Amino acid sequence: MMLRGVILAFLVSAPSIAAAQCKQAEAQEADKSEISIKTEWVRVGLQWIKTTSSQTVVDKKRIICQQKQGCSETQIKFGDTALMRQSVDLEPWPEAVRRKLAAANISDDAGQVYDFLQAAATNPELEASQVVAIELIAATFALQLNDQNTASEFLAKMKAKATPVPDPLAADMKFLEALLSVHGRKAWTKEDDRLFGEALALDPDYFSARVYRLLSWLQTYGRTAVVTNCSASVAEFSKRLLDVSEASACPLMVGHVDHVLQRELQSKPFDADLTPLKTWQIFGIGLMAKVTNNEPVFSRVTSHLAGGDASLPCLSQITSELASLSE
Amino acid sequence: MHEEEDQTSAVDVSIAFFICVTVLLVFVKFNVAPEQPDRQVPSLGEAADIVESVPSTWSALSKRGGFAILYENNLTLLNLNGIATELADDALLSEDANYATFSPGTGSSPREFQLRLAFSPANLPESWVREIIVIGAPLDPALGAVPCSWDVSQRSLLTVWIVPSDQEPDVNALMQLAGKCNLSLRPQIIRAVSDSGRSGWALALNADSYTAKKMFR
Repeated sequence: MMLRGVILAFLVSAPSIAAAQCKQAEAQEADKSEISIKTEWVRVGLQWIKTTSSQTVVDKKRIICQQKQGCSETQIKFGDTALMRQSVDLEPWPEAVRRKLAAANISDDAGQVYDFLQAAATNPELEASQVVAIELIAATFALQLNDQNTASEFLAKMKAKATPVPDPLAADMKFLEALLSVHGRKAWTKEDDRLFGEALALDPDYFSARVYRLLSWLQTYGRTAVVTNCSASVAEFSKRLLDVSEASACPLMVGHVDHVLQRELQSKPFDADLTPLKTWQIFGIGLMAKVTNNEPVFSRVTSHLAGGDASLPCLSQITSELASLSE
Repeated sequence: MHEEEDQTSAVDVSIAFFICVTVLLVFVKFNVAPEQPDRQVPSLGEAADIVESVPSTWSALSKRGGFAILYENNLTLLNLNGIATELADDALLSEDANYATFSPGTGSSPREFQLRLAFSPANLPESWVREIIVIGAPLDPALGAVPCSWDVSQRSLLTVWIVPSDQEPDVNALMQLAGKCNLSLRPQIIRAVSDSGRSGWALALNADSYTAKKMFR
């Protein structure tokens, strides 16, 4: 009888071994600056691997989880508007509206595009939130056509109306507002960073917001020569980076993101001497290489950083973080 | 005595049963985990009859592109404004030689659509043509070195449908033109011209256009 009880107890407990989650650990979310020596056990197949996070703040558990996740699809969406991300479902769209929007989509004459959008938005069958959705598309199209003024006008109009909209649409609005705010500026401010953060908070599955949150960290804080709290900075930067790679820890995706970052920052990290910005960029490349199991790139990163000037901000912490990932 | 034996064997059977289930569960549970997740590797040689109206790469704001047809060294840039007007007015071209059909999307985004173009490459309608560039022809020095007369800044991405013909198109010349005019080329090869003399291709956009598989390749 006792044996039966033991077996039963085992049976009940066996399925409860939870699948690994690639999300940031709750405790770490609560206090990013905390440094503690923790021992954690991570299951990889039949093996339990002991990881000690002594004085390192990068979420190793999350990296291992993403390595395992690889190129598989996640819930994170790449669409440029909430509707394309299928994060929100509004009332059915009349065919006339769909026709006008398709025309606006292929035309490359700005005036014509706005005429089609205007015709679509004034369709009497539309609900108020649908009109906002079309205005958001209009602002997106204006930005595609490199017409910042019109995009700002559309956004201002939407804000003035203050129609209550679902969160993902509000996320789009915040994101476009932030994009417009940083347009053409090299130095971004904490206010811009806050806007991108708000956009992401409104729709956590919005991939572009995740990438721009990483970019805005680099633009806002990455060029600072003196960093007082390195562990907090490393924790925040690595969190934002792993938020991006969580979408798909795939070499191709990582390559695209790296390319976008280099273009936006106008900085090729391995060219010429290390600067504070390049140090952070290379750290990011190292983390992405780890996530995608790209050992050649990872060793290039560690050897490049090894030759860096010790006065670069957080270099020692970054190198020890990377070293701890190789253990 | 018999009763006791029966009880013991009942216990044995149930223990054996539970052990079997346990063994099964343990193996099922632990064997699944270490397997690498299936990696969907999109093939670059995949043939498709539909082309996304957005480029196959990720950016926060997708780039708008132009479309052209390459037939016997004639590169015909499509007049997208003209086609858009026909589409918006519900007056798409419907002739024997060339026609277009529009299917609205059914998804949550009103921007989803599919526009099918069926065209006779040797006999394109006037309203669809913006400009014809003869590639590979010696350049007229009076016109300047580069035949980039169209607005390159707005259409730096050019999708070119290459239509098979007896005279093989000069792809090298096409690449040179793209290089000179700073264009990103997206060549799409049309496999065959049908008996009616038409070729076809659909231009589409839907939520699927933004999947990782489509964008990161």
